[in-house]
Amino acid sequence: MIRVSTANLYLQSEQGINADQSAMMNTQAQLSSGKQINSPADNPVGAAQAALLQSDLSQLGQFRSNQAQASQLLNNASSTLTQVTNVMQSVNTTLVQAGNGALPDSGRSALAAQLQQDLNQLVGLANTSDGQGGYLFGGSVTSSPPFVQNGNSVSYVGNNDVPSLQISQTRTEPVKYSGAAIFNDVPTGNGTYQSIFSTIASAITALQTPNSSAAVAATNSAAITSALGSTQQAITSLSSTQASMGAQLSELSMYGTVNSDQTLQDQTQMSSIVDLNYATGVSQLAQQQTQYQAALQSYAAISKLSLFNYV
Amino acid sequence: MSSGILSIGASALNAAYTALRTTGNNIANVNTPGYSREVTSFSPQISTDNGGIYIGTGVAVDAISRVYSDFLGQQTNLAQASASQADSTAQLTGQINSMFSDTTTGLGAVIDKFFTQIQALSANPGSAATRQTTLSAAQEMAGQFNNYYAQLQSMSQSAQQQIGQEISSVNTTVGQIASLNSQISLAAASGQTPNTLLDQRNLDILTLNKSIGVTTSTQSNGAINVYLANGQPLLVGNQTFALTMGQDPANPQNVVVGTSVGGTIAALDPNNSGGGAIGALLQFQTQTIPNVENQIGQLALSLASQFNALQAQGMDQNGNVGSNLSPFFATPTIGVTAAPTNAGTLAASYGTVGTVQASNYQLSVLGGNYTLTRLSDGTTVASGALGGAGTNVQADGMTLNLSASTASGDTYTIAPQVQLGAANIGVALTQGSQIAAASPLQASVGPANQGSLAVGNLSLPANPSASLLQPVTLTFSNANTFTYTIGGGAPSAPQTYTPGTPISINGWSLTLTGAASASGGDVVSVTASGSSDNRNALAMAQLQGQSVLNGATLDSAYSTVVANVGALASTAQTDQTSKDAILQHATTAQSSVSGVNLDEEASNMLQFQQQYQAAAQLIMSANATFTSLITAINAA
Repeated sequence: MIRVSTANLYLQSEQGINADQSAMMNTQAQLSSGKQINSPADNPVGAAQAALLQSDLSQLGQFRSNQAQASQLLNNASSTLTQVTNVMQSVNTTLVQAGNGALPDSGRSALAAQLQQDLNQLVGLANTSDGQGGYLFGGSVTSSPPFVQNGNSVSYVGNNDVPSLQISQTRTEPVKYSGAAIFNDVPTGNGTYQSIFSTIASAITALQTPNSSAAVAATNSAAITSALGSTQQAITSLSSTQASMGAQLSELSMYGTVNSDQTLQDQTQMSSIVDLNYATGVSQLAQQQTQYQAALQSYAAISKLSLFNYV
Repeated sequence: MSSGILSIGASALNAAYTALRTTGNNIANVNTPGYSREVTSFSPQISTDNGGIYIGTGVAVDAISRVYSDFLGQQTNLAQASASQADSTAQLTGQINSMFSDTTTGLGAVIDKFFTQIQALSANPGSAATRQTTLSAAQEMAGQFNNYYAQLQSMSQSAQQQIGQEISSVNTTVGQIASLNSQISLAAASGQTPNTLLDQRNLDILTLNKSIGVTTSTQSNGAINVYLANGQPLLVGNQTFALTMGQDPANPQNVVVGTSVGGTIAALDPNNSGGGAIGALLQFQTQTIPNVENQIGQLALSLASQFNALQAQGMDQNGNVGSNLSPFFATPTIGVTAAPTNAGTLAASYGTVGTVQASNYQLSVLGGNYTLTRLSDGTTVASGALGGAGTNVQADGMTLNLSASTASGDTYTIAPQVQLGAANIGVALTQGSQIAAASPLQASVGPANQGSLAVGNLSLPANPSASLLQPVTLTFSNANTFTYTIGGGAPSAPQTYTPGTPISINGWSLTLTGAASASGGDVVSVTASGSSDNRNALAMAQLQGQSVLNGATLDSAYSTVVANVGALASTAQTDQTSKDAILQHATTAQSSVSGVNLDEEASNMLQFQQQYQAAAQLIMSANATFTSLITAINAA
């Protein structure tokens, strides 16, 4: 037989009611915040995982933004090169016309003027801005335009630094092409390199030099022929540069897909750890309410019983 | 004859009345804490010999004894000390837990935000706005570290204050027990058992256990001696020893609690303090808080050192390199205390911060050798011979340099300040343009190369000087030979080229791959980068994914801190629930023996009322007998 002291009876009931009430309040806090982890103590391992997932998600967000920027820069560069190619096609046409030996000097001058315009336009395109206060084709020199024109002589004052952006945890993507490589160092095929600008400049000079003698005319004609060859090689080279830009863009797109997938995966995992399952929470609350009610009712009933009522 | 009945009746009346008074006392004290119910015990009085027949002479009240189990009382005391400690621990660790529960603006979030900004910087190093935002994010992060440290320190201070309050309450209670001891001894000497005083003393001991767990031993004269968990007495007879608090001489930030013995405090071991609120507070102040401070301190130190190392290798927007650069964060320092008689000097700085331990060190020189000891566990982490031109020691994440003038007998105390790491971190840069986002040099192969030379890797010295920026051109005369010029000077002597072998010129080291053209003419140039180069910023951003802290990344190190804090608080909560349940059991067991049950007292009251009524009837009948006798005599 176990004795129960009156004071202890009340104390135990009180403690039981307190415990029920505090459990209910805890569940209510979870329901109102929508999370089952409101502090690391709720689930230490889960909280640590959530912290790591949070870092991962913010990194993925930054990679996404870098990818967008990289795409934009490469798209800009590619469309600029399309325009450059158009100008070179026009130069090509002009040079073909210039190859006509029967042209008078006046006609040749007119063609020279045409080429001059094309050259200026090309310099302008080579100095295209990158939309961020810098230049598309200057490497890491952003303070001044990479190509400086002095008469018909164009020099490159940028550098060959190719900046890259981090587009995923493991991949940095170069986002610019060196202006020198595209405009100034076009391979001629037999081991030598030539600048697009100097090609056109030499053609302009040849066309501006009157065909005063047969020897001069021959020199001029040779210069035009050589310029034509270089121009065609330049067009080929531009097209291959655009092809590699295109390859980069499609690679970026692939990384973009991987990024979206990983972001979704992280968010799903985070949600499963941190978010409250409302069905569970609500049914838990109902159960605790019932328990609490039972504790209160039984306390009220038992506390009325006393022998002194009957004596 | 009738006087016999009368006296029997009187004794019965007296006994019943005493029993009723005791029952009444029990009922009155039903809710008095610490009250043990009293029970009246009776025994029959001596029977008198009446010619071979023994006739009883009534009832005597033996004693009013207190129903109390020493064993259960001790169990309750132990359970109370345990439960009080668990309660305090749960509340204290709960505070740290709340600190780490903010996932939107807490430490983890601002570290993430900082790295995101560094990535943004690498995407747009030329923008002043981006640089400014990056600087702000760095300041916010450093500020949050400082803030966390400040909060932990204030928890530590408040714990100290609470210890002080508990100590004065302990001393007061011990004083009360001492005076009760005297009173009880006096009463015991005259053969009495003072129930109320005994109950009071037990209650005082229980109260004492709420503050600090104590053990007791009862003396033959009824006095109780009280001892702390480390064996030191708080009370012997009626002599009290005051509990007091002081500074730990080995670790000035920590407190020690104990009684004063010969001028020093006989400290309680925080892991074996006996429990109670003081036990919990002691553990919290001396172990839990420093632990968390060390963890975030190590994180801060690692961040600051790694970023500073990268900053030093870069170039800022104004073209500064090397020693002209401002450090990113305030340089973490190591405290060095030299003995006054030292001949040489010691310079200490952080090396690979990831392996730094939270301990102080001692470096001593004897003969021609030095020994470096870690003071937390006494292990020798490094030793060796002194070098003629100074000695360089690398151990536990630190780089120590003894000067050439070091002599035998020199000693130093070295304090890496890991615990203060979070307090000391701060941004040293004042402007966004000072962030060294660029790499000073870039290597490229000449445009007109015939061969297949390509740049493998260009590594820079740790502390570049301005002369590093001079352009260097390598010109190949054939597949295996090249000469170089520095800053347009005269060509060097011919050098042999082996693909993959590092070429060191002007302080940097370049690795080339591929073959140079056999006919010569290939060129490789190393020149200064443009100020909008982003390679150093990229390297800074990539720091987030590198294992820089004992094999863990910064992110995973932070998540480990979160897990540790969470586990601490969660364990404390579970502990609290189970210790409280144990206390409840012990209290219930004790009260089932000593507690008053009103229904029981009600039935006792009925019982003794009947006894009283019956005894009264007995006296009436004794009186009637006497009256009959007198009447009979008078009639005769």
